[in-house]
Amino acid sequence: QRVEVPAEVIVDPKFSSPIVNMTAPVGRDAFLTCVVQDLGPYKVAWLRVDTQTILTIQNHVITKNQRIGIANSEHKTWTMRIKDIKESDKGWYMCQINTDPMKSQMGYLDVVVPPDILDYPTSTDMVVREGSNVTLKCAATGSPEPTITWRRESGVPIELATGEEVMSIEGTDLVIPNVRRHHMGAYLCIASNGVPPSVSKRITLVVHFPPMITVQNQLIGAVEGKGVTLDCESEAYPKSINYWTRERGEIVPPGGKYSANVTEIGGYRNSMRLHINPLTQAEFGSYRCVAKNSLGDTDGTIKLYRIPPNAVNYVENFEARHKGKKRTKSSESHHPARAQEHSGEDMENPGKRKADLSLGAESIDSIYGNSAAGSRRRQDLGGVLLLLLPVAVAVAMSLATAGVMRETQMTLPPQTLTHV
Amino acid sequence: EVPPHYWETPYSQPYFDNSSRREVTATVGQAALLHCRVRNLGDRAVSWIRKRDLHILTVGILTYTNDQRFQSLHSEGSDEWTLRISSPQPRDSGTYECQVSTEPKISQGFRLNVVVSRAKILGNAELFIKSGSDINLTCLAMQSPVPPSFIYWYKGKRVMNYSQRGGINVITERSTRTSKLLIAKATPADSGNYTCSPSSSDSASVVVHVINGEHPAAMQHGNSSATCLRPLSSTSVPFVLATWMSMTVASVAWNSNLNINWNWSPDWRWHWNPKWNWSNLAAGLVGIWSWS
Repeated sequence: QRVEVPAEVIVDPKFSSPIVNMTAPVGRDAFLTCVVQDLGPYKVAWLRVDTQTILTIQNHVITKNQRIGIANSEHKTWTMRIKDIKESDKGWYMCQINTDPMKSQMGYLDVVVPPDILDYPTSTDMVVREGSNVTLKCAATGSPEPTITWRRESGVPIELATGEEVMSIEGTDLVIPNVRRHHMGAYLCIASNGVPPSVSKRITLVVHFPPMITVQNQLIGAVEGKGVTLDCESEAYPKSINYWTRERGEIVPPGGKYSANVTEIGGYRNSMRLHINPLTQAEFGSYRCVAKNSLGDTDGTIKLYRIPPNAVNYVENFEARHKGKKRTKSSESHHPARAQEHSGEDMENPGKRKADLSLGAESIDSIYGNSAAGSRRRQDLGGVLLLLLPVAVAVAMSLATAGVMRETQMTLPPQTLTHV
Repeated sequence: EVPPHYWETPYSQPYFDNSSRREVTATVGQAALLHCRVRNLGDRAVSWIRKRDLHILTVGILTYTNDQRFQSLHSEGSDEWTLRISSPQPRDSGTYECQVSTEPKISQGFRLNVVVSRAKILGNAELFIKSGSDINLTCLAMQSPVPPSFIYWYKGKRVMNYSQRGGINVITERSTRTSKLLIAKATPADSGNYTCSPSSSDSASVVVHVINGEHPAAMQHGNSSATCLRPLSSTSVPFVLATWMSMTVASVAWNSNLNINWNWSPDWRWHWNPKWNWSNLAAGLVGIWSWS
């Protein structure tokens, strides 16, 4: 008995699953995987779509790009690897099977780039005159395009043009109209696009203004023979030269009974102090505290008067005597109160934190079992159908003709009976 | 052994010889050839790609596509890598790219036009010539991309250019892609199917009838009578058999119906009327014949 061996059947290959798109930062390795079922004698190729470049065919790397590699698992999972990817590698890639007609599918490789702040047109440290308009600019590259955020160092809020204060503001340009001395300080431009690390740049804003003097007590009384301290506060940037003078402009000589010192309060504020000990008749009178810088100079006046030892009798007498004298005094206008500004120590730069996430886990090769595509021989029904065709036609024709005959028989005359 | 970095030096970079024709026109059925010449190839591969769908056709001398009409021709040591498309079709028209596997790649595009080229004989498809007159046929091969190498004339299956019959003249001009066939003093024997066949185009045919002026009506009569007496075709035999069987069955059914009507005479049930049966069969046969 003969047993017929079934012939080998070549199944048309097909893609088991679509290509999974991949996102990776520059410098990493990228993988695109093409999963094929029933490859058989056909071949798999990888191409770059936008440049229409052949990359690999089966296990051969055709291109001379050294960063391209190909690996396959049981001729089912074809993984193309690109080492040390560049931004120009971003785009569509095609996996192709050489059937006729050709089958193909595409996958997208997205290459992301951490942000980087451009030196131009990003602003550098700025020196401006108080009252002018200032625009700080910050530009950055990266993929996706980075978001620019402005904030001030040490948690100082940013004053907007509307007078509102915010901790941070987005946008490439930070506009400060009518800049004031309290706007002086360090500003941070922070660029981030979701790809670590974020970067930031420190831009120092220096505001220049002429000196200003504030005197808390313009009239001070003291008892002869004791000591006294005169106080002035000055604001200036650049830093001012500070000294004391008497009515006629002579500078108070250092040493002896005079002791003067200048203490820095804030970034641009100073405290001037003059100690006089002991007091004699010659020390009573007017004193001037003077501040000078490159933009101008200003001064404040303090009047020092003598208090008699017998406080009760001599005070009344002193006031009565002064009322009699009609002397005009030029007094400095009192400056309005202002917010006290303190710039603390520099904190650690939060943007420069190097949080390097580990990306690009290798794709796991999926193993497909061999599909037992047994070939079954179809029974040949052509011969039987060919034999049945005339019989079917005959039956159909006979039924139709019988119907016609049955109609015509009614018109026939009845036959005479020949047998009695 | 050449060090690996040798191929990266500028003087070893491949480049294209631009003397190749980048625009190629081919006719349907004739092989199309696209010639790509690359100098300084080194260890790179030359591939052919169809730009329409990015289908890889050949890599080196290996054919990647399963469309076996595509083939890469290359002689060892030569700079030429030729894409050969046997039996091109109009759908094969488009841009093909010769690509060298440098990084980045260098490539050259070739435009292929596949046209359907057909010859044309001036005048009507059927010519009626009076006996004794001249037969004058003009064949044009205007759509041919290149002038044809030759234009043959056939009568039936016999080449006319070298006919034994005297008085036949063939004048062919390659530049104008034209050929004239002149047959002097035609006789009824010159009637037949004349075919013009350029080497680079499909052929065209014309039917010539040389009529004897004395008996035109007789010829027409003979032609029309031929269509009436058509023999039974072999394809209708199964149908004829089926119809005959149906007529036989129908006649039997008829007789059965007639007998059923007379129940009071059961002895008449199996009596057959031979005249009815035979006349019915004869009528069926005549009908079958007329149908076929």
